[in-house]
Amino acid sequence: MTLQQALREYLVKQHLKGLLPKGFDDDYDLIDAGFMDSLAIINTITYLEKQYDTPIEEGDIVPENFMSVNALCAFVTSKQVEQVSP
Amino acid sequence: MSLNLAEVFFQKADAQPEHPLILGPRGGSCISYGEFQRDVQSMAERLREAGISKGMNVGLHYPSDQKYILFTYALWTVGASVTPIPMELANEEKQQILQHIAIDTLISSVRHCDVFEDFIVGDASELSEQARLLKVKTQRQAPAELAAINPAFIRFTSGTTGTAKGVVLSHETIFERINAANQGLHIGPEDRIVWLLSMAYHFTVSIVAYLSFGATIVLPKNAFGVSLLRAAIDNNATMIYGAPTHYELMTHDRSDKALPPLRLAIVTTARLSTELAEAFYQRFGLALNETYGIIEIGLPVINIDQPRQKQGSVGQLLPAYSIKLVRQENQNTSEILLHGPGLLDAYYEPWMRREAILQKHSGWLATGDLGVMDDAGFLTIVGRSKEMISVAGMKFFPQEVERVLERHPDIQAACVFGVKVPRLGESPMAHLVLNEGCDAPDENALKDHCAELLASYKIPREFKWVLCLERTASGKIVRNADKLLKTGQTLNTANPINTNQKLNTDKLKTNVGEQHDLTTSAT
Repeated sequence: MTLQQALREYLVKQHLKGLLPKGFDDDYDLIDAGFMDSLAIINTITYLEKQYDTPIEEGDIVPENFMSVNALCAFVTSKQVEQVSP
Repeated sequence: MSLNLAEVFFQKADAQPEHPLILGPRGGSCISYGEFQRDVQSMAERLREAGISKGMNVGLHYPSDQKYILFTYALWTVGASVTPIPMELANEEKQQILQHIAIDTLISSVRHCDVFEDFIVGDASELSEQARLLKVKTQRQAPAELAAINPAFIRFTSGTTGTAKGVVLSHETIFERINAANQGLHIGPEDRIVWLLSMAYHFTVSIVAYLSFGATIVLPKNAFGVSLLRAAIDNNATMIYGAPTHYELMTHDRSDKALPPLRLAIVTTARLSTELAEAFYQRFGLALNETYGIIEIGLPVINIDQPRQKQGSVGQLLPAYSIKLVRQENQNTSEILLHGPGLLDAYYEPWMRREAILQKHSGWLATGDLGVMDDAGFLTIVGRSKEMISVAGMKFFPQEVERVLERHPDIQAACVFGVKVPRLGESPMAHLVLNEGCDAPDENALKDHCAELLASYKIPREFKWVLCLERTASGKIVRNADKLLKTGQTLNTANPINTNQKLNTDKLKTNVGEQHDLTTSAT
């Protein structure tokens, strides 16, 4: 499973409760649609840290990194690159 | 003549029609008291035309925004009561509310109407672009005495048995509790309050108080720290009302944004850690005001005067309330008993009026919380006599999760307990006993099973297979995390149990507690 697929599956199962909203795709704005409340943000941070062994820093917790499947994917990829070549 | 909270708001709107009621969530958007009053009256007319009338109870399944307040007040205007159906619950949990509380009609977000497919009769009518009015088959009769109470809210709450209880709050009760709380909060028209919580759980000593006392509600664009700060700064907020997670997200903000000089920064729903209180203070130079709120009584204790000096304390008792600390038998801890205005009117199932609830403790409400009080009267909560788990302030009983796990065909028995974790405060963990002859399902399969039946915050983060559950000498399941994490023969899911091992084949039953224990901090 690719990173993108894994993140999509996590978001759909955990935060969308398996119900795909109309027009859902990897650019779908999860924040605008109201799926990213404070608990969802904290849960997503916890999940990313555990699943990808990626420490999330304070400055990382901004809407741009969490707004869609693609945004999360780009964020995790950049964190992984950071870890390999700090 | 009985009181109606919608009338209380209308009086305030008549007195200050131009005053802003809601600012945001979009930059520059504003609705005044006068405009909102007209919207409420217009929506009430539409509800009347759709057949909603006095004495009916309507389920409200809608996100926390301006429309949520509009629907609630419009329903009150026509004399109906409201049962909140939180959006974050799993479908089965939402349907359970319809089975346990008599609901005649639903107002639902269009996007999520399908959840109620099996209950709907007739066609849906459109209330707005995003909301539908759905007639549903009533699953049960309302208690005979309910109508006499003048109910405003009938809130569903789960209990230790995993079954519903329901808390009934009348218009008069809510009015009493907001007035009692305002002896400490002093909310008035000059206040601009940043609102961050779920309206399905928090509405009375907050939204109703703001509308009744003429304050302005500020709705942020989203829950990220930067957006919360921007909402407070752009709208000159005087108060913030949030959970520790919101203050944590604000503390994480790395910009140089400073908060305006807030009068109060209220923390509710969960315990505030010393680390977060200190980090917030270092970042913003503001001490957070901890509170003690429970659905059965409202908000009787607030740390208004010494939030910095007495960090960790929920504060002093407000003038309208009385408190008694009762030493628990054979323990060094004391349970908090309270008395005062705004006590719940009744438990819904089984039906029990306030007088009968209080009679059990000679006129006092036993909270189930354990506390200590210092010489200056500052109360600190030190634990709960009931085994409740709180994930970022979302509270639930472990028995509810255990019942779901035990519905899995491979699981014989389950024990769920809260483990302390950073950020969320607590996270649920499960010890599981495998059914004889079965192979242990993997973690993903267990999480999928839970996700179908439970809200996501209730899903255990970790599962461990054990040969049998830890029990006390009297047979009660041990849910003490400190003990369970250190002891017991645990076998993780990557190392499934050999089914030839001797297993305790008695189907273990979860401990059935008293029905009328207290539940959430929603007020």
